[in-house]
Amino acid sequence: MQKMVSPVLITFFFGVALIGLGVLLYDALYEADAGIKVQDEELVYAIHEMEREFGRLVIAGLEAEREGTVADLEEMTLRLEIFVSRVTVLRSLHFEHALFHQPAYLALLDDLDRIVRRADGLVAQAPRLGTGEVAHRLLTILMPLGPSLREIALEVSQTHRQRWIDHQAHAQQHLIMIALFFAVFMVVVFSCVFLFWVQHRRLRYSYAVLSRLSEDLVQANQTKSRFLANMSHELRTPLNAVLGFSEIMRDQHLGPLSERYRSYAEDIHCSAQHLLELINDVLDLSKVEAERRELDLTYLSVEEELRYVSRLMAGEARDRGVDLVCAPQSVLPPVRADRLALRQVLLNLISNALKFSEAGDRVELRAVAGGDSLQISVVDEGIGIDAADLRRVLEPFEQVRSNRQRTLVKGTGLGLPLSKGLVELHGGRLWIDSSLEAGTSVSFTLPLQVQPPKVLEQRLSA
Amino acid sequence: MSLRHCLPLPRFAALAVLLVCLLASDRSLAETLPAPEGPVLLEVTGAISKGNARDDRGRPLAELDLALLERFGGTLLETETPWTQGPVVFEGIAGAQLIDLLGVEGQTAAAVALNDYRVDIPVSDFRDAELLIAYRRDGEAMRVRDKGPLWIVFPFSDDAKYGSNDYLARSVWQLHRLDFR
Repeated sequence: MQKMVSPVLITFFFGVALIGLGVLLYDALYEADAGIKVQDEELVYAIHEMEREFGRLVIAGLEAEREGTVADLEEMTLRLEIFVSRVTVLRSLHFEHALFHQPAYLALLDDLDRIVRRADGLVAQAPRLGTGEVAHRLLTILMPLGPSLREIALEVSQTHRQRWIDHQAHAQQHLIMIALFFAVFMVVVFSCVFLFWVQHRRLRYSYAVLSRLSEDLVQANQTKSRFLANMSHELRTPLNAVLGFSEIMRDQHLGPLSERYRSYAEDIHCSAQHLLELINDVLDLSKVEAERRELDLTYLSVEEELRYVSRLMAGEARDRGVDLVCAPQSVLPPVRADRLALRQVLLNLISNALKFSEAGDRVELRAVAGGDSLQISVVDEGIGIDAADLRRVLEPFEQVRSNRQRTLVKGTGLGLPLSKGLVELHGGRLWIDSSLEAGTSVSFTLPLQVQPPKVLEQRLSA
Repeated sequence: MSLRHCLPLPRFAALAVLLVCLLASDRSLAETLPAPEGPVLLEVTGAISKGNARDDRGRPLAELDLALLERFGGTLLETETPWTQGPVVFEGIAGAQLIDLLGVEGQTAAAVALNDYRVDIPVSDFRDAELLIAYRRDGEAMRVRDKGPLWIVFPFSDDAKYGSNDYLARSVWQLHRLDFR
């Protein structure tokens, strides 16, 4: 047995692979999302702008300290305002960043607030103190701020740079992983295609082998059937002598025999009779199987045939004390069938039904036309067949034992298979409905021609 | 010697006409745009046809104080901005008003802020984009530390396109000078 790659497994693999790819791509896209970077850059920009404005404020302060004019005071005030606006911008940044948790940064913010408050107070006192003094005091407050401002600015720049480098590395890693993933994926896809190709070839090969085997088997079966048909014919010839002479001896045509010899002759005759039946059935079955049984199809009345066979079987039924009833539907269309075959089937089924019935039981022959076929059933009230045996009884040489009948019923076991074969030759179907103790109903169908045959038409019009 | 004798009349007349014309043109400039009286908040230079002063190269220069801006502006804009919380009402001079007032002819305005931030704004934004040079926020004049005294704003709440980086960059705080080219 060749091992097959399960389609479920392949589907599962592709599913997992696609989910993996999805996760990778999502991760890569998320990483590529500029959100974090832009925020970082905003922070870097805000800090550097503030540092720059701090520088310009200091320059304006130095100028005002030296010159002391009103214009210088105004310039210094403007620079202070701009510096304060930059501090406000920095404070307004609301996103997650390690810097915002650093004590040095928080201390710087506090310093800035304090310095802004003091600077505002100083500027308000300008008319009283004079420009030079205000500028001097302002510079005294501001100057110590420079180094820590610079430090924070550098740190933010460096952090940002590091994060950018990490980000690049991460992105590169992602790209490599995606490329690898695709490479593996492609390899697997090609492997799958290759596997499918191999399996396809194997299947085609197996199919060829199987169909050759099947042809051989059909051939063998036909050979067997041909052989049996020929052999049966050859076997019948000597049997005729056995039957004929044993009958003469049994009936003591040529003078009296001792009772013992007479009973031997009767046994011989009986056995030969049974052997002949067996050979006939085998011959018939073989012919059907070898498709050498040719049907002589004529239009016939099923009702007539039913009455004919029930007359034939009436004697046997009476002997067994069974009530054989022929009850076909009143109006039946003619059926195109082989008269002998139909009679053979009916006789088989009826004798089966009688065989499995007991005195006082009833066997009924029914025929119903429906749709494009005609259904004939032989219904008995006999011992019935176990569901497990139903299939078996249609096989050649199978007979069913039952509890009620300890001994094997007389018969070849070929009747049902033969009947089935004959019905199927007609294009019909044979089946058995049965349950133990409730009786058996064997039914078969014969197809009805939809178009009335031409011969009939002519006869009708004539 | 009479004046008439020394100077031929036609020449004198021509000179006089020229003088009068020059004076008249200067006066017309002054008439359309009065000189600022308070501190100048906005200087407009470059490709403008009206002003109330002249720059180094003799081109018109408009110096606008709060009173002038109020007189020619007065446009209100209610919007939210990325830098403020909740809706804010700005009062200012609309881009189109400024263009009409100064006879702007250029294609681009370089907007310069007090901290020397500089960005180019297409004149089409002034004309079509409801650009507003705001001088009041919620009825209050804006201090420099609160992004004043002039702040270019767009109707951010009305159109998502104003949320793009381009428009955010054009929303100049502490606007100080416009140079049309």
